[in-house]
Amino acid sequence: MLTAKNITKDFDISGKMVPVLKGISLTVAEGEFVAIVGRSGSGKTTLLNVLSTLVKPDNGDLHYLENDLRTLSDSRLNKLRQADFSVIFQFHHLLPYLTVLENALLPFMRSMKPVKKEAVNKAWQCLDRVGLADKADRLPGSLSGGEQQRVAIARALVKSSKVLFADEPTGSLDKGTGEQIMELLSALHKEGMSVVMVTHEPEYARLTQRTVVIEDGLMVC
Amino acid sequence: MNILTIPIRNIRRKPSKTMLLLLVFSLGVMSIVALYQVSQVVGYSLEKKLTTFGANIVISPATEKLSVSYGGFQMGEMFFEIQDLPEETTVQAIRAIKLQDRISAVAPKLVTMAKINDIAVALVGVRWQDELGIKSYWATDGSFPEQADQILLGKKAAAQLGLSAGAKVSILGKEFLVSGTLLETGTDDDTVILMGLTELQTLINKPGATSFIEVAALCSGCPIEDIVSQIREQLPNTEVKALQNIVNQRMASVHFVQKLALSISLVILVTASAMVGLSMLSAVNERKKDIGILRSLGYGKGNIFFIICLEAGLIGVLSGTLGYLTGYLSSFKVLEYLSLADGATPQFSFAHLLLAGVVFGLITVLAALYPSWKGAGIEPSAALVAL
Repeated sequence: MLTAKNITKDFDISGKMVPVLKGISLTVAEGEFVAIVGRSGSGKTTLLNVLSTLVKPDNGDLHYLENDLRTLSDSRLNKLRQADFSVIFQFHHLLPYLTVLENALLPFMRSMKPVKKEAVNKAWQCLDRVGLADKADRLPGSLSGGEQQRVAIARALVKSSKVLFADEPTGSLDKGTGEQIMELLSALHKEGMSVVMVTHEPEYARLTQRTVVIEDGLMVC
Repeated sequence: MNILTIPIRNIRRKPSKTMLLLLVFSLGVMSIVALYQVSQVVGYSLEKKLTTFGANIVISPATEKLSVSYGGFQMGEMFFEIQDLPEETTVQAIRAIKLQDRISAVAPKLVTMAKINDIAVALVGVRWQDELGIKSYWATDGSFPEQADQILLGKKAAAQLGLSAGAKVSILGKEFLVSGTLLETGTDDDTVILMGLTELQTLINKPGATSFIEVAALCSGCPIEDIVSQIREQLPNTEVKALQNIVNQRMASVHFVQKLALSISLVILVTASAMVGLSMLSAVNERKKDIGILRSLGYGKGNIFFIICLEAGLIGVLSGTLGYLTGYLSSFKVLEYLSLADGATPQFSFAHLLLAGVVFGLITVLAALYPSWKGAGIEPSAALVAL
């Protein structure tokens, strides 16, 4: 479903081009749960951002279904991010001035048209599923890290995304909360959602179907 | 919930920052509105004061004139059918035009010739209250007539007749008391004898007649041509002339005040807009993280541009409304402090209130165009650095 071939990416750091991805190839099948692991600075987050279209690769091929993501127009990429892709980050992944419910509905608030009632109902269901329906009117700042992460997952659920990209979703959480998040991700995968997760915790990587190890911008296995 | 929710919530998130920005721009709007109101009132007062220095419209009976010569003898210009204007109906007609609020004074006059001690002199009948209303520069060595049998002499006429204040003189068979002599004006008034209009009408047996009528009109807000054409419509058989040089001089004074206010307003507006622009620019830099989140959710550049513009526009609309109200109220204080109102008051208008909201909303949007464009141009990858 998602295919990356010979992806390279350099970053300009203090005027010097530093290669971060040095020719990585990866395929994510429909409904697959893939973990990307590696040490800090190995390039795993950059790879996730390239796969989720947030960062453009310098070279290589990147395809999602029939779409060549490297040549896709901005508007088509936006459509993809609106419907098919969801991204959750390690930190600060919610708008702090919107309530939990509004954050969950953020993908549907792009125009002057009020959010449809069906979307609102679905958001309530998804918040209920992640155990946050009773905190729908709260601001993210009053939630714990785990709860904030669950709001981000609820947002992906409301969108009915096909692929969920998670960048160290348990990185800032305690063990118990991290396990809850992993349970949620596993459940979503079982329901057919493809999940690509960056983690540096082997025990969580073991819960996925496949682990990809990145070292110094290269895939080692 | 819609896209408006995002800027509204963000504005509420930082109340102190929002209040400060609102305060700065409202103060700018307040200054502009107060300046506008003060300039309007001062312009009106100034023009009203200027109308006391003479009329700017003259209405006279329609006449036909002909240059006559016969057998090589030049008889000069002959006037046919010189008719007088009926005072009451003409004054009423002038006061009844659509722009009647722009009529500051109406001064009817009757002119005739008489011989006093074998010296030919012009007699001018006036309504003293109206006449002094448009000739505030008149000064006399005695007093202005207060009784029907009192007259005022022009400086040259007094010298020619050898009369001064307190003297008695017989005019067309009736005795009058000279109440004073006009100090030299440099105008035709120096050569005439001025008396009450009713007395002159009675003396020459022309009750209710006038030779011409001078009108002092306020021209700011509408051109003199409009007033003139409306008087012409009311008085079709008369000649209505605007004294353009007087009008232009007065309007130059009024426009100077208004242009000065406009220039200061523009400086304030540009400064306030620059502050809004800078504030939005810094807000864009602060909110790269938010932009990154929104971009990751499929918000396009247009959406980001719209959100930032909306935020600026909301501040502009609020500032415009608040600034108009405070500016309107403060203009009273300014006029009171400067003692410039002269009877006129600032005018409140709901249409202007709405206009202020819309216009200043648009101005802040314009000021935020560059920050919005810059914000919209942030690639998700750049915004992710902030995450």
